[in-house]
Amino acid sequence: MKKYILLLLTIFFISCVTIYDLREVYFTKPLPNGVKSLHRVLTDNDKSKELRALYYKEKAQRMLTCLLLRNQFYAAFFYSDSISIVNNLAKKIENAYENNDDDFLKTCEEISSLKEGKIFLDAQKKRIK
Amino acid sequence: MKALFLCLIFFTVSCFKTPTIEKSGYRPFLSSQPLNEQALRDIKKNSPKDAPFVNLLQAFALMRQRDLNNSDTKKEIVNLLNDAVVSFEDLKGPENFNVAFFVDEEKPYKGLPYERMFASLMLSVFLMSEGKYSQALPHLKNAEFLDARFQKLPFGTDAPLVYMLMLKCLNKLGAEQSQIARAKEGIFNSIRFMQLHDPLINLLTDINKSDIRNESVSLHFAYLLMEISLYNALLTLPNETSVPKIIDHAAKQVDLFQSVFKNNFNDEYQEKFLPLIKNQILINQIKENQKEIFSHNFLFKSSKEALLIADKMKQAYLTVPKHNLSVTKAYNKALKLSKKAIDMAYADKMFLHFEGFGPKLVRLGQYNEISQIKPSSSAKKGLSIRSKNIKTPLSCGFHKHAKGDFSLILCDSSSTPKVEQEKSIQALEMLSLSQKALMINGRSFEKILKGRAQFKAATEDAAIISLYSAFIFFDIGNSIITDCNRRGLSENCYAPAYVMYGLGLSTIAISGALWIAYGMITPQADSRYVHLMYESVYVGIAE
Repeated sequence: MKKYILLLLTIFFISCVTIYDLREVYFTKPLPNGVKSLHRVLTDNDKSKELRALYYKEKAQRMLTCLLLRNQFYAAFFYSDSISIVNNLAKKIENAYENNDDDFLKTCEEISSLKEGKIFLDAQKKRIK
Repeated sequence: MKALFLCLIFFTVSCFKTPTIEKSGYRPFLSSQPLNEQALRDIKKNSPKDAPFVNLLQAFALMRQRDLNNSDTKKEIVNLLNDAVVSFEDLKGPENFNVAFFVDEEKPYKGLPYERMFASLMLSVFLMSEGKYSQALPHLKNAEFLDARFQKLPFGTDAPLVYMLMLKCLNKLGAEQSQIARAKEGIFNSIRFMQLHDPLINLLTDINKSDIRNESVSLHFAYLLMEISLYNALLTLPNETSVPKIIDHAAKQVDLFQSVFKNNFNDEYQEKFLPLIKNQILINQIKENQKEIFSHNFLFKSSKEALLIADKMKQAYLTVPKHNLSVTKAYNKALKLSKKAIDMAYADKMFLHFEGFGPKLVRLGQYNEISQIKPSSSAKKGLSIRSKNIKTPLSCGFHKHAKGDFSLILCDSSSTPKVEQEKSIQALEMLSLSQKALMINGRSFEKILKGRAQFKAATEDAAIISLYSAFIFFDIGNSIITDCNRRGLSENCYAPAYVMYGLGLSTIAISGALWIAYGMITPQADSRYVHLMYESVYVGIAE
């Protein structure tokens, strides 16, 4: 029994460590095609403030957060071999991103409320500060 | 000895392929001088495939050097241009690109697309100078067709000059109103395209940047298709169409251009879109047999996305001052310039000014396998129409200017008296040859030639490796013989050395064969282009 619990804890520990590594991948590793760097996203945001306010109105800031979250999961997908939860969330948010703005925002809110989503958002907040 | 002899041949074949323009018979053209009659005849006789090339060079050299009011010179120029244009009838383009063992310069010269258009145009100009409007008109229609056909986006020419001259001819010939209206529409559409191109594409680019989902594959497609569709809308919609309606029309027509996209933007598709689609396939774990359908879905969704893009464009145009100002200003300028252009076409004394040297063709790559067009140093940046004051005599006919430039005052000879004075005329640049050249897609040639260059590089390396191997075999053989002699052994000891020499010789033979292949594979792109063409054509009214 003790051995069984220890094994579970080890797996849990390894998976926690790996998710915490993966949340940083977007900010630290070379990026795959299909995602712009944090610097580029923030620069584009600065240049497009007027148009973003026009199109997204009060949701503009939230959309930016969601975009970065999508980028994090997208990049993490290409560096995660076995973390299926990350792969599944990457697939979910990516399909919503491909679909339309409303679907993207809705899916982003869902993922943000999950534990994994919160872990990724924490990393995002630290980097943007 | 045999190996040495073979090497000499291979060296000769592979190294001494002189570009056509640098051959001795062509030298006068390098200083813009025409050839004498005999020299011209000799070139055409010895190298019939270069006849259109040398005809064009000769025609433009005559324009730059001779008195163009001389009827013999004009006749000669017309004949040369006519011969060249007629040879362009076969518009299939170069054949047998897949045959690796022919130099491109060995093929009959067909002219670069913008050269064909300009040759037709100049032929019509010289015919019009003689009052032969009925003969000039078909060549102007040919110029329009040639330009539209070889544009990256085949919707009609964006050269107002073609339509202006067409309008002049149609007016002189008393043509039907429908034809005259079509020419006027052509003037407006081409000017509208040139004026509105930059502001609308800047608007589209800004919207793209502001779009949160701009890395989405279907949205990517939508933006590119929207750009193509906008070009179509600018070149084809009636002249009263407002900017929001142009944008709406472009969005609704996006589906039509999916095939244009695949045919003409394959490089962009391979470079930009394919990696994104591959990533989507990985993320969604798409099975092999479903990959193609999955990939096509992105293109199908793009028409929906285009409608959303159109809404954003209209919103930004109507509410964002920066975009509203630039688009409105450009639109009003297009209206103003079109009216001026039509007035110029109807003027009793239409002023045409030809200046500068056109774009250059340079060859790049390890084996000169890539042709690249470089704009003229005097070419304009962007698509807007330049204005210039040009001092010229006001009498009808041709007038020479510095550096081989010339003007033509096209007169309505029945009513115009001879005027012996000079005046500064405000003229508009209605044709830029560099802009024409760069808008045309010739990149399919590059791709084919690159394949040959890769084969050549591989063959060259293999030949060199074989040669080194041969030296090693000979070296080993020599060592064996030296050792045998040192130990005082009989000739039986030499046997392994002879085996080594045999291997060395056969390796040289392999290397030699590879050098033959290397020498015969000539991936150099065609270097021929008519460097004497004019860069800019300005048009005004000589009052």
